[in-house]
Formats: sequence, C-alpha cells, structure tokens
Amino acid sequence: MSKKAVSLKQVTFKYKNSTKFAITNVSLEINADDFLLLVGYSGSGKSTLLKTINGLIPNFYAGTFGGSIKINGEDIIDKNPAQLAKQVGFVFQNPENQISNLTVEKEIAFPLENFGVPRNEIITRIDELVELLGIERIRYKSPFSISGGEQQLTAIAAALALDPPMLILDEVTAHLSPNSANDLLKILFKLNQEHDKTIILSEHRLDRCLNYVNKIAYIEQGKLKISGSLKEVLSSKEYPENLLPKVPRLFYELARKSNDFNNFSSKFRKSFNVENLPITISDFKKLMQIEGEYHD
Amino acid sequence: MSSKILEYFDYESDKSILHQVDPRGKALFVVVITCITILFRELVPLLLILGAIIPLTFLAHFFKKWMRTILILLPLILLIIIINALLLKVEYPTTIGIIMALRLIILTAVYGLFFQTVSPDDISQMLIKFRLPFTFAWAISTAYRFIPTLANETNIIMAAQKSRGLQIDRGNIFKRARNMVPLLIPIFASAMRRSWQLAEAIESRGWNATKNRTYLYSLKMKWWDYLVILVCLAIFGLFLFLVITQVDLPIWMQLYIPSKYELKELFKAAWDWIKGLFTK
Ligand SMILES: Nc1ncnc2c1ncn2[C@@H]1O[C@H](COP(=O)(O)OP(=O)(O)O)[C@@H](O)[C@H]1O
Ligand SMILES: [Mg+2]
Repeated sequence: MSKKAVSLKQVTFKYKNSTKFAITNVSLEINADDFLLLVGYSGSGKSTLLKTINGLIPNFYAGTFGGSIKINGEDIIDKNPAQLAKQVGFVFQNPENQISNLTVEKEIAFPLENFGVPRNEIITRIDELVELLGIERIRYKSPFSISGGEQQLTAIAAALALDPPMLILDEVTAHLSPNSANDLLKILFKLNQEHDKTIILSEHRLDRCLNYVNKIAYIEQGKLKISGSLKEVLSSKEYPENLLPKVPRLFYELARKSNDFNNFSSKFRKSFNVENLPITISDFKKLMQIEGEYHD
Repeated sequence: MSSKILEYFDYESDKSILHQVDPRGKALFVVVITCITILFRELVPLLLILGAIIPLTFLAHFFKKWMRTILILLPLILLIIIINALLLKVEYPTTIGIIMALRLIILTAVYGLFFQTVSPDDISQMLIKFRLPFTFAWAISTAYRFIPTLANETNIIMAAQKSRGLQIDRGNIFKRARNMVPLLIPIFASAMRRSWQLAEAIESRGWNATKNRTYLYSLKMKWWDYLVILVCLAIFGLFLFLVITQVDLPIWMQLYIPSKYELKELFKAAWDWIKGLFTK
C-alpha cells in the first residue's frame, strides 16, 4: 500500500463575505505516488479545495472552517502557507500575478532566499531547476517578456525550489495554447514518474490530461461527488456526461441520436474501458467497427 | 498621454556604462544635483549643469526618451516662462522664468537617468543597504515593477469603456472628472485582485519564513563607485562653500536677459506692430 500524502476529513469552508459554503464535507485521500486530476465546473470549489491543502485556507482567507487536513500524517490546520512551503508547492492559474521578481532566475531564487539558503546553494538549485524544466534559455530574461507557457514553467520552478514532495496546480493551463499546455503536462508527468512528486492538478477541460493522471476527483457545488481511478470515475453515474472526455462523449452523442438511448448509455458505461480509450481517429474508427451496431 | 508619461519611469535593462554604477552613487548624484539646481539663482550655472548632464544622457542611452518627455512637457515649460515673465515684479522676470524652466528640464533628466539605469531590484537592494526592512523594500520595488502592467491595463480598460460609448475627453473639467469614475472602478478592482493574488503567491513561496533572509544578488561597491561618490561630494562641497561664504560669482556667470529683450517688451513691440498694420 502506498504512502498517504494528503488526507482530508470532512473539510468545510465558507468565505467570510459569502453566504453559502464553498466546499462542504470533503473527504479525500491522496497517495504519495498519485497524479490526481480535480475536475469540476467553474465555481464548483476547485480552487478553494486546493487552497486548504497548502494552508491558504484557513490561515490566509477569513471564514468558517471545519474538518481536518493531514499532510504526511501531520495535522496542518495551524500552519501558514509559508511554513508549509517546504512540503507543498503551489502554482496558480494566472502566471502574471504570481511572479514578483524581475528575472526568471530571481523568481526561482525567491523561496530559497526567504528560507535563508546560502547564496552558492541557491545558484546550484537554480542550475538544477532550469535544466529539469528545460528553461535554461530564459534564465536571465524578464518574466514579462516570455510566453505564458514559459511563465508557468517559471512558476513551477519557483514552487519546486524548496524541493517539496507535492505540487498543486490550479488550472495552470487555462491561459496556455494547446501545445504549451501539452508540454507542461508532459513535464508534470515526468515529475510524477521520475522525481516521485505527488501532483494535484485542477482542470475543467480534461481531455489532454487523461494520458498522464492516475486518479480523478469530481467536485460539484462544493461537494466531492466521486473520486478514484479513471475507470471508476468516468463510468460512474455521479460523473456528468458533459465533462466526459471527447471520444466517450462522441459515443454518448451517437447514442442520444439512436432510439435506444437508455440502453446504450448504461451499456456504454458498463463496457467503457479506459485502458482501451481511443485517442486517435483511427483508434476510434477501429472501435466503431467493433461496435458495429452503431455504424451509421 | 498618461501612459507616455509613465514610460518615462521605465527601467531599460540594457548595459550602458551608467547601468554599471552602484545605485547608491546615483542616488547621491540625484540628491546633489537636485539641491544645486534648486538653490542656484543664476542662469549660467544652470546652463553649465545642463551641459554636463547632456553627455550623461547619451551615455545612458536616455537622450531620445528624455527629448520625448521634454516635448510632452513643452506646453508646461512655455507656460512657466511666459507666466513668470509677465507677472513677476522683479528686475529680470524673463530670466527667472527661463531659470524655472531650466530647473524642470534638468530635473527630468536627472530623475530620468536614475530610473532608466536603476532596476527595481537595485532600488530594493539599496533600501536594504540603508537598513530598511525587507518588507518595505519589496513593496517599493513591486509597486514600481507593476507600473507598466497597470498602465497597460488602464489603456485596455479605457479602450473597452470607450467602445461601450463612454466619452472620456468631452466636456468641461468637472464633466471629465466625472467621466473618469467608470475607469477608476475597474482599474481599482483589478489592482486589488492582482495584489491579492500576488500576496497568495508570495505567501505560498515562504514569505517571511525566517528572520535572516539571504539574497541571490546584493550590491557591491566597485572602485568607480567610490569615484562617483567622491566627485558628487566634491561638487556638493564646492556648492556649500559658495553658499556659506556668499562670494560673488564671476561677472560672466551673472548673465541675464537684458531689459530690452524682456518678454513683456517683446510682446508690447509685437502688439504695437500689429496695431500699426491696422491703422495704416
Ligand atoms: N475570495 C472569495 N470570497 C468569497 N467567495 C469566494 C471567494 N473565492 C471563491 N468564492 C466562492 O466560492 C465558490 C467556489 O469558488 P472556487 O473555489 O474559486 O471555484 P473554482 O476554482 O472551481 O472555479 C464560488 O461560489 C465562489 O464565488
Ligand atoms: Mg478556480
């Protein structure tokens, strides 16, 4: 059994100036080797949930908080984000508003400076990180003269500077082109596979993430509806059709056109197997031929 | 217009000779020149200061930008000269007007040179060397670094509101002031959102985690920096000497515009000439 990295129990939070709870009774366990994808519509509470894991909630945002959060078995409720920075790296959605230094290198150095790391060690760490993330080229550049993808890589490098075992990323691909979003996901996959980082990623478009993640959690109006392996979640009734990845969704649309909607839907859900998920169009055609009865 | 003025404060990250000078030396230079410029009441010394600063603007690759700023300020400069020349009750009002304008021109050059060649990081490092708390130094450099972002955003919001039919530059001054409200609210809201997100981010990067913060780069004086400081102090010493001993400046330094070329006289002559055209 793999090690527990995060354990949330009955976590509830209401922002001070808000009337309804942003998240209610969320319980979730995340293993140290997980690459978890948090899915949910806009406003469903993804950011709020993620912020409870690095102490921004309830230590930075005022509000009503309930429940317990453990990181590596340790209760973190009274630890502020700065104290947790060595355990959790956090990357935010908007690259521009999370970078406060004038060069990429200085941005990566910032957390290390905060912790009083000696200068020569800071330089060694920057060397390692720019190589790991493939951003040697922009090391001395201004974060405002580089692309959005490069800005997010800079933010990831800064979040990794203190070598936390866990990285949380809140809709980091939202401002990126499809290509740089893909590159970024590949790097996260590498961090997860080769550098043993726990990765928690929130997204509201999940297609491109499916190749890399091993778990999905679905949140709706502040409640965690379901979490587990891809297969468990995507074939569950709790999971909305609209958020299915494109190819299964195509099946779903076809089924709706056919008369036998209910029958198809349940059949599809039962037979749906993520391991055989068609990624390319030719995969899809192959699958269509097997499922001959829906040929037209 | 508003954003063009802000451009003047932009740091240019090129590598001119003046970029290599320690910001503390440059800050001293700014202080000394400001004192001298404000306290000298004669035309020739100010022209000499201006003459000394122009080569520096070339060295810093600042000359073109400075000229652009002067061009924007030209109406103000002319106004200063004309108002002083016409309204001051002294012997040589036009000379005073020109002196006032010269002060403005020199100070735009000096402060421009400083902001052009000192990066926000250098400013915060300088404040830290002056033993101000890091939090304060960080706030200053961050505010400074967000100027271009906010200026850019202001332009976007202005364009957006204009495209929705807001007439920003119509009507009298009160009407215009009221027209600014639909601009200020989104600008303010967005600045608040930005600073909140920034606070979250630095908090998550271990802000204030320890008392003894280290720095990747910190300022180190080189030999030429001591030279710069020495020269600034020498200039300041000379200036103090002149002020304290009250020695008269040499005659050639006390030059002023002769009374027959006073702006008032020139205007009167022009007026008479125009009147002459009509009475003919
Ligand atoms: N700072 C805040 N103050 C008050 N309410 C907030 C704040 N941030 C988010 N909310 C509310 O909490 C709910 C969840 O928001 P959020 O966690 O940002 O969702 P998501 O990240 O999934 O879009 C929303 O209803 C939102 O309006
Ligand atoms: Mg969000």
